Amino acid sequence: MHRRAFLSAGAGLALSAPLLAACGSSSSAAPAASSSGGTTALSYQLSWIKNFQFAGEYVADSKGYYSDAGLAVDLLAGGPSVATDAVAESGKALVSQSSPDFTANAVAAGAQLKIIGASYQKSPFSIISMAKPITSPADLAGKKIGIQAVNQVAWDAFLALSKIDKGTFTQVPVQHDLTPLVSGEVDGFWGYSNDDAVQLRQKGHDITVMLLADHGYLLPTGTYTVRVDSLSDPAKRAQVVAFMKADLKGWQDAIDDPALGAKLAVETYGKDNGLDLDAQTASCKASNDLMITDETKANGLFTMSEALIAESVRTLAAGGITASTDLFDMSVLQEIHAAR
Amino acid sequence: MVGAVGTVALLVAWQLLSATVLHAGGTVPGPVEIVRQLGRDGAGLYLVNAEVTVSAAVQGYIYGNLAAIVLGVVALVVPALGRPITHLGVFSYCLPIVAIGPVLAIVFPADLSRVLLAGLSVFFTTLVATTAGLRAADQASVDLVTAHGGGRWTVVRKVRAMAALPSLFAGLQVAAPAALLGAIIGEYIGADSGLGVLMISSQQSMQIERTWAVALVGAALAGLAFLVVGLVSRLLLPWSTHLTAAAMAGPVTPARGRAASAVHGAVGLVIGVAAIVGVWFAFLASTGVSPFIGRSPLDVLHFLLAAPPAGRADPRDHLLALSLTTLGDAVLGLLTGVVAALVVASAFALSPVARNALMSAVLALRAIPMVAMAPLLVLVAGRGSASVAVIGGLVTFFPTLVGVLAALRRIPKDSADLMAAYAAGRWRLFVTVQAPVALSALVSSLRVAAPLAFTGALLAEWLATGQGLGYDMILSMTSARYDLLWTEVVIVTVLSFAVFALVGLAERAVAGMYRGSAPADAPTRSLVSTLEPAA
Repeated sequence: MHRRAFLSAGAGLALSAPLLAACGSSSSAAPAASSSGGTTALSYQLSWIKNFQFAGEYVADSKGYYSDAGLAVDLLAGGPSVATDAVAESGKALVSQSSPDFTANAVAAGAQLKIIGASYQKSPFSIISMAKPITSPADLAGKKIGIQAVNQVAWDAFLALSKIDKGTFTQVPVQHDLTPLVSGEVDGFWGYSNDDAVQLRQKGHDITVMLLADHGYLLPTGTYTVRVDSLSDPAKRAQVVAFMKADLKGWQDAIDDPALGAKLAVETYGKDNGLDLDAQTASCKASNDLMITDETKANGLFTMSEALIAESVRTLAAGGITASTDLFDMSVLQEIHAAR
Repeated sequence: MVGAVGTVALLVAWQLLSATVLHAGGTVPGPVEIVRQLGRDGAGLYLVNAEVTVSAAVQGYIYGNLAAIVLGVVALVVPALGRPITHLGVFSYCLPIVAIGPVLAIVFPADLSRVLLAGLSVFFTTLVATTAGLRAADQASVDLVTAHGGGRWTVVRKVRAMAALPSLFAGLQVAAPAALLGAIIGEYIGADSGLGVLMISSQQSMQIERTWAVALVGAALAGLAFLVVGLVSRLLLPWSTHLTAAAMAGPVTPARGRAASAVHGAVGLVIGVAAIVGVWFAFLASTGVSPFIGRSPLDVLHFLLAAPPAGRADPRDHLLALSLTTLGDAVLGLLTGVVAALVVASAFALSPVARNALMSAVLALRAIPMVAMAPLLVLVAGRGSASVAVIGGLVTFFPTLVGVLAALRRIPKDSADLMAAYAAGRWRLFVTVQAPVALSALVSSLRVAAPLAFTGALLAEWLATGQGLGYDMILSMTSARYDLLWTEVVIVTVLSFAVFALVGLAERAVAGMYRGSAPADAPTRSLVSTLEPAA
């Protein structure tokens, strides 16, 4: 899940689940996959609104990589209030984009899910600062830091790994709006190196970015989540493999040509979202640095090496999440990369 | 004219503030910057997104109001169902979106989820308006139809339907901005386009002017809807503003003994709770929501009764502390909102000039999603009690103000005429007739505001303070602790009901006070019964 600001729904509203029963169950979610006339329809739940983050998917869709694979892929837009692991667990989407900390927690709570790949091999999580630069964990002392509730687990893990006492700084709750940082209300703000940091620089702000991954936080994100039985059931597994293969092909193109994915985001897939082409292009370029590592050059895009998986489990444990290496299953990617 | 001048004065004040004390690194744009941004973007960007949001809002508005009106009539025709229906209404109003949004996103297609959220956000207020209106019928006419052998349904058709219209339209007016807000919130669980999506996108790319432009377009649409419904109401119901005191008196509830009343209340509560639990089970069964995220009342009960894991802190102690924080925050927000509403309503009653000048600002406040305003509010009010008071106050202010203003507008004509005959001035009219009416209406409005107070508290905790149930719910959700999350939802609901019931008692006390004082004191007595929702 990219944005991780999920649940930032606002406004004075409250709702009733039970009343919905009156609205009938006939309209419940479409099945994750259905076949007709040789084409298989399936859904991929995105973690955020349609912007540069799904550049590879836009390329795969517009260049026909999905349809060539016999798939009609519905890219379900995400947002601040979507719980993508639960969407995959429910079967509404065959695949969803999430983050290992969310998925590990879901699995600990009884969900039968696996992580089958990671687009961001290096975490984009950062503490962004302006007037009072924060370049190392020690600089947090005495500062006011804005953290979204959704990032609390990752933040706790980072603090534990850096041996920073929570009492040495002031934490306040923020959402995805960068205003508290620019207004000076907070000194540091949890954001993404390839997104929030890019946007702020694009608007001419002088910022300092401390990448958590440079300080011991070695957990990939932008991970692909599927149900366990989608891997064990041969027909479902074939769909997952076909989807990932086409998706990978789209991402190869998007990585080679950052302007292409940005253009598709701005002009086609997120055309009503008021996206800025320069900023989206810059974000696409910045994302490449997170996606391509020595390991992906050796093992193939999205693949998490055994070392990275072990490191991920350690990082999760630092954040208080008990996970085993079983959480990750790279067999689909190995199958795809081996065939190439 | 006065309205225009007032609006201009507000805009100028805003522009000055944004350039001076509220400058804050350029994070508070003035009207000039916002209009410039609108010009740069062009109308197209806003129109295409507004169309998506308005479409969902209109559908939700229609379905939510229809459901509320039908159930309001059912509650009157079948008295046994009255209380369960009211309880379901309150329930629909106080369930937090943090818990429900993701569930909706899983169970329903995205576009239907948005319509449902819009519909749910209008259901309770329209239900209250419908039942209050239906009860406002002229008792003599009701007696006449009954004497001629008409049953409850005949009374509804021949007498009550017409009598209900003024109150119903007031409810439909309040519902218009609420539906829009509901549709915008619905976009936060995933949408390709819409005003909410554009707002998320702008906030995250530091396009502050555009964020405010989107908020203002939303506010303008909501204000427009509010005015249009008001206009329709005035065209269709020209008589609604000058009802006579007798027509508004309504039936006097038969007196019950204290013990009988307590028994009646207890039985009603049991039925209400049973209805909620039943609908809860029915929802889980009919939608097939996965047990991974869905929890039944039994799961919650089990969680609350289970012994704490050995060697670890009892989660129930933590829940108690969180609940007390949230209860305190809700009460603080409610008091702030109510006091503010009373002050503003009094000012509007005394000075139509102030009313015309400021009503647009009041409307705008209601229609702007709190998440858009939060950074500014926190900047001004900090992250302590002041922000809780401001956010909770804003949420509860609007329905209270509308309720009191509507009551003041419906001051029985003969009472006003009487005052005029005695050559009483505006102030005298306010003190003798309007103020008591406003006070009674205020207590009634609290019924709507009480559940909202918890919504406000949860928002304040999530957006500003990072404490209480509001913040913990989000932590529960993100760490997949769904047992805890659903239990927290139940706690919020129970607390809302408790405050709702307390307001009901206070309302009865106030009503009794006025009824007991003098039989001739028709205007005040009548308004209490007019606005008394079924419960």
